[in-house]
Amino acid sequence: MPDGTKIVTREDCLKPNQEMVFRKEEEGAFLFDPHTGNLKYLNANGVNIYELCDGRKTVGDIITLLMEFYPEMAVEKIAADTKLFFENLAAMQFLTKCESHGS
Amino acid sequence: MVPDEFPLTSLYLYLSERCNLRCRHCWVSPPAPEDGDEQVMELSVLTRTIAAAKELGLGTVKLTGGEPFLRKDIVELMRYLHGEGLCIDIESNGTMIDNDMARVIKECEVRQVSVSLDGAQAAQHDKLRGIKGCHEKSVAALHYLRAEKINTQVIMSLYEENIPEIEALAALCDDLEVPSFKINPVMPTGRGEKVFQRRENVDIEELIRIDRWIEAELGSKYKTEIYFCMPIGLKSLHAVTGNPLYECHILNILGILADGTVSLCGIGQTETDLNMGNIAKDDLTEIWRHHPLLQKLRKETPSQLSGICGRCIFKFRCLGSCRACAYAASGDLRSSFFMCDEAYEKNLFPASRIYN
Repeated sequence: MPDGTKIVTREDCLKPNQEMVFRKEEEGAFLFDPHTGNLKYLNANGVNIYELCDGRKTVGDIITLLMEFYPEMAVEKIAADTKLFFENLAAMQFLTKCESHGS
Repeated sequence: MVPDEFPLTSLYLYLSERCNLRCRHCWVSPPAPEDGDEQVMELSVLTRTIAAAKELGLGTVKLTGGEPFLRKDIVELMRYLHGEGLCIDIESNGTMIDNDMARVIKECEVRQVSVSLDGAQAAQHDKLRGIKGCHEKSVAALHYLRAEKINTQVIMSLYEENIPEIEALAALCDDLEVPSFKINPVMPTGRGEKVFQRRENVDIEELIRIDRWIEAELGSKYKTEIYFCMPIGLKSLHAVTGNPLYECHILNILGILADGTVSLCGIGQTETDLNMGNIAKDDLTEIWRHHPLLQKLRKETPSQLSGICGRCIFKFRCLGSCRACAYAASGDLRSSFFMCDEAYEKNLFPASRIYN
């Protein structure tokens, strides 16, 4: 199993764990861990953010993109919420850190 | 196997294997009261067992049957359970609940009394329940229970023919201030098997349609909360991610039949292979911790479920819906649940919820 961790920094680059099941539905998606049975529901926003984790963008890159997408939202809130979201998914091993990444 | 990993949180006490009604769908096919004397466990044996179960994590006791109020010392039992600080739920056809019994139920702080009603009008209900006049008694019970401010639930067994009764029953529940209305599609076990042979059951397309209609329209029309029993894999995304669903916690319950037989649940009345001893002579703690059937169930559920249940992303939550029904149909506790099977065969099981 990939080594998931709760701590996610802006420099980290995340990608979907290929051992997990990602299933989209009309208004969201489920992440399912067939080994543990862990199941996580993502709403439409969550799906969009999860899909930005392509193994190339850093967490900082994604936060920057989200700031452009949600200009009305406070920068600090976007950064904090996004980091928490990723930490949660990483802790459940739905996302894993890349050992090295491009920019 | 670490037993504490599986606390025994609920006991289902089948207080009488007899029933005074003749429901066409009953999943345990109980004999009638006039069919001769019934051998029931002594109260002292039962209380000793409940004390042992508390050590294993027991918090809730459901009194059911057959018809639980056919047991003569049910009041004494309820008072004992209340004195032990246990949460009590009752499932009954309601025909034997009068004003005095409602007061006792109140005194014992019963959490919920579920009463069966298959139609808002007597004709439909009495026909499906097999005894004329039983509708009137069941509705009267709901009045008595309301007068005592007892939390009630109406449970409807759904056939094709009483689908038109759903809304009328929801309205009746509202009128009677019943907080919860649960609709159970008839299952192909016990007498229900013949319901399926006669094709009087509701097919899966219709079940899904009804579920979505309740969610989209009916549910918001009445104060009574309406719940349609269907495996989570077939529920809408909104339902799955919203309110808690009724799910069987098969890994945390035991059934004790009227004669003291220990089984997974009431299924032991018809599927005797699922019986694990008798509280009159066997130790409940030993059964719960070491019986091979329970160890097998814990090992296989849900990781080794077969068919569509084994491929469903909700299997760790759903646990394959009703394992008793699956066993009755196939003789295998791992087999898939009939509704999900039917949905899958008809291409109605959401592809997004299947893996492997």
